[in-house]
Amino acid sequence: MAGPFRVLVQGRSMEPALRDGDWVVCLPPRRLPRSGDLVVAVDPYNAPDLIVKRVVAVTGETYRLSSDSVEHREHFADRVVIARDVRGTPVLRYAPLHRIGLVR
Amino acid sequence: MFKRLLAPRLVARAHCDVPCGIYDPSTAKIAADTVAKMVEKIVGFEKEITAAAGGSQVNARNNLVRSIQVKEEHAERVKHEILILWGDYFKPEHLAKHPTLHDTVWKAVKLASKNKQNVDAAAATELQAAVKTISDIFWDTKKA
Repeated sequence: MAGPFRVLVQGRSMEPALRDGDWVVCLPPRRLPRSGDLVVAVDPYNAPDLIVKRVVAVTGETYRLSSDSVEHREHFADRVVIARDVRGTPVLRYAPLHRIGLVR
Repeated sequence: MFKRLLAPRLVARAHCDVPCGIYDPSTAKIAADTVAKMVEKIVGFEKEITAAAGGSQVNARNNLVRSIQVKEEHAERVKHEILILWGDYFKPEHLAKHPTLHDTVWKAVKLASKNKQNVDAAAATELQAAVKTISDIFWDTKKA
């Protein structure tokens, strides 16, 4: 994924930032992830599937990813990934139309 | 046409690892209210049966049995819903903030059983109060 790419978000664990069914444009990483970044990464438990999560901790060269939604956080085992697993950063939601906007 | 062109080809999962529920104590509250209502109805149908002595009591008896059955089912539902909240939703940090939680749940479950065993308006009211206490704790934990 050398350039921007588009993903369909499935699931509700990243609400309110991302909702189930959102279409999102992602940019490839331009720098190493930081705590608080939203990222699309290869799920280490189910490669090559992608997950969209938020970086909650950076330890050396590993990144701990977790969910935003408190309701769902309990049901997702945080994933620890390395920078190479991070495929991009969601930046723009382009569908549904009434929710077009930057993703944070 | 455009939709197909613009549709993402990749999926990024924001799922949980296990099926997760959105917890809500309102089912337990409605069930407890139903138990109280059925206790009222059972007493009423019993009076009807007594008053109809000598005549046909079949409808009153039918309604009595139905009310007992609904009371039984909803008392069981109260237990089920409370135990789900207790086992799946409440976390150690909730217990730290609400140290009476275990005792409250335990008593509420026992009260639900008492309501199955008896036709007792006072016990039904106590059950409603116990479920409300658990519900209040639940909503308190939702305050960020």
